[in-house]
Amino acid sequence: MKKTIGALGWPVFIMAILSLGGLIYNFIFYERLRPLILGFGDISPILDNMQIPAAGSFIFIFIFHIAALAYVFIQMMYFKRESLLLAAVFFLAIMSALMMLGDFALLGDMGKEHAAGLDTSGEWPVLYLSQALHLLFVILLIVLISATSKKLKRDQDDIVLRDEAIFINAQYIGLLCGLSGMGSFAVLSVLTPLWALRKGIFPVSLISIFPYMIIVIYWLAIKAKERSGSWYDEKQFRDMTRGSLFTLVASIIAMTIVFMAQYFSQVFEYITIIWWPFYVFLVLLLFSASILYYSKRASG
Amino acid sequence: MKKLYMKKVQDRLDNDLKRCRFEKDSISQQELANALGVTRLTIHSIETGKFNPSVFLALKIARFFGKPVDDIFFLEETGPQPGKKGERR
Repeated sequence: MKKTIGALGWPVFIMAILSLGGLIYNFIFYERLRPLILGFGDISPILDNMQIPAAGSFIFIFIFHIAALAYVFIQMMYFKRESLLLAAVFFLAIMSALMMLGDFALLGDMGKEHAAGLDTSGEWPVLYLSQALHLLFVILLIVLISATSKKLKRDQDDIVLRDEAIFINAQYIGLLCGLSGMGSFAVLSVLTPLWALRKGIFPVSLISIFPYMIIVIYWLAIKAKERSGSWYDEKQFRDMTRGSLFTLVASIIAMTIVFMAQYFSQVFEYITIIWWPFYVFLVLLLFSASILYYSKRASG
Repeated sequence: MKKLYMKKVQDRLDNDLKRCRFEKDSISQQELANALGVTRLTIHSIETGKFNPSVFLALKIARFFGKPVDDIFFLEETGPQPGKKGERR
């Protein structure tokens, strides 16, 4: 597996650099289209010049995402030490790959809306936010590949029979998913009308929770492979117990505040729509953060 | 009449796990963790006194090193703290 990581590292690194160029090209393409689309101008000259290279770079970036996902996954299987960088890249790889599909759907919708003479101003910030996410992912992946090449040169670590890294990495990913879900709801609640919030809540929730689902499935597969009688060792169990108690108390307090806010103020009407996913992401955030805190405190 | 005062004593579980590892061919925390079926972090936390193992795990550790449990784990008497909480007197 060490050889596979080394062999995959360079092609993925080169693809990441090319994808960076592709992202910049597509951004220029979007920026040239945007004023014309918003002003209902003629976009055919720009499409004639840039459409095919932009579509090519879009496909290339998508293929790069698949290669990067495979690379990150192999790293997670090989390195048995926790890593915030690896967990963050894993989270961003899944989010960014899903957002590539989102971009495709969004661009299709914008094309149809433009042809029908409808306003597309609401879609552009989402498209640019998605581009920023892709950019962040590519940059962090380049950092990860550089760090990995140094790590591979060092001696091989001890054999690990009970993987503790997956336990901590899963909490990092839970923390990032919780933050992503709650952050998305905060932005949507402030920037979008209630009908749009109602429409967008399912895709946003699914995209935000997806990395956590993947890591939990992977963790279950590891536990099945370990064939150990207990799923956690006793320290992990203690950390989870403390984390659960903290989550119980903190989530009751937080949800009481949310309830009071929507009970006494009509401004918080959107809470009646988002309360359930908000609760799920709040619990995920509190649970993962508290377990990380207790684990780190004991190991510090 | 002589007043009786109860001495405020707090007991803390301490251990010689690190010394035991070095005495046994200087095995690493990971090797010990593998032998006991726990994670390396658990061994590290026991050694630094931040986690008290269960009786079951303490017995397994003692059996691994071929020593009685109280040769590895023992109570350290600490009193009320004048300064920082948790600091030994």
